[in-house]
Amino acid sequence: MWSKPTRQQGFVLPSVLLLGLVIITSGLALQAMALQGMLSQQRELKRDQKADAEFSAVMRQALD
Amino acid sequence: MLVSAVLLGIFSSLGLQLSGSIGRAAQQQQQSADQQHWLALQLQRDAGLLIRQGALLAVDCSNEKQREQGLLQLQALLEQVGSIEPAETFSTQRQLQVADGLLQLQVSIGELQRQREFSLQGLGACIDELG
Repeated sequence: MWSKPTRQQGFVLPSVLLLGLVIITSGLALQAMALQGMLSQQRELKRDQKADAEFSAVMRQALD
Repeated sequence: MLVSAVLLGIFSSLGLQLSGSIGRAAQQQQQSADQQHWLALQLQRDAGLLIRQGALLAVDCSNEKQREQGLLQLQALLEQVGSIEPAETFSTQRQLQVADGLLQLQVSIGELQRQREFSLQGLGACIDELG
């Protein structure tokens, strides 16, 4: 028994699609932010390690 | 209606997966930040102790035996005071080694590692430099 969809039912699919779009875009944006944070930490560690190497170089120079 | 329901199910599942993935990434990031903080704190504390104690040593750095003795004294001091307790239960490692006239300090947590070297001359522990 087929019944003609009501006007309200016609809004369901676009709403679901829009919701999906929001979920995917916001999820990807948050993932990008998390990745950016991790990269920033890696850069910080490398900077600290470089400072350690410079510190050690000064200590070695003092040996001479 | 059926298509919408299926799509809603797919998007909900995708949303949950993304949420879990973001949560794990955030947790990993926080853990890594805590570990880096511990490494920095440990090195800073140890360097501070060595600088303070080194200045009190007054070693004749022209004498090789005294130099060795001075470095071993500093190594013993750091071993005695031990490591700073990390905020979480990380598996931390701290290694002290005297080699080539230097005291090498290495601290690590998992893959994260930092290392510094100290010399008596650099620490101002030599008599001739004090005078």
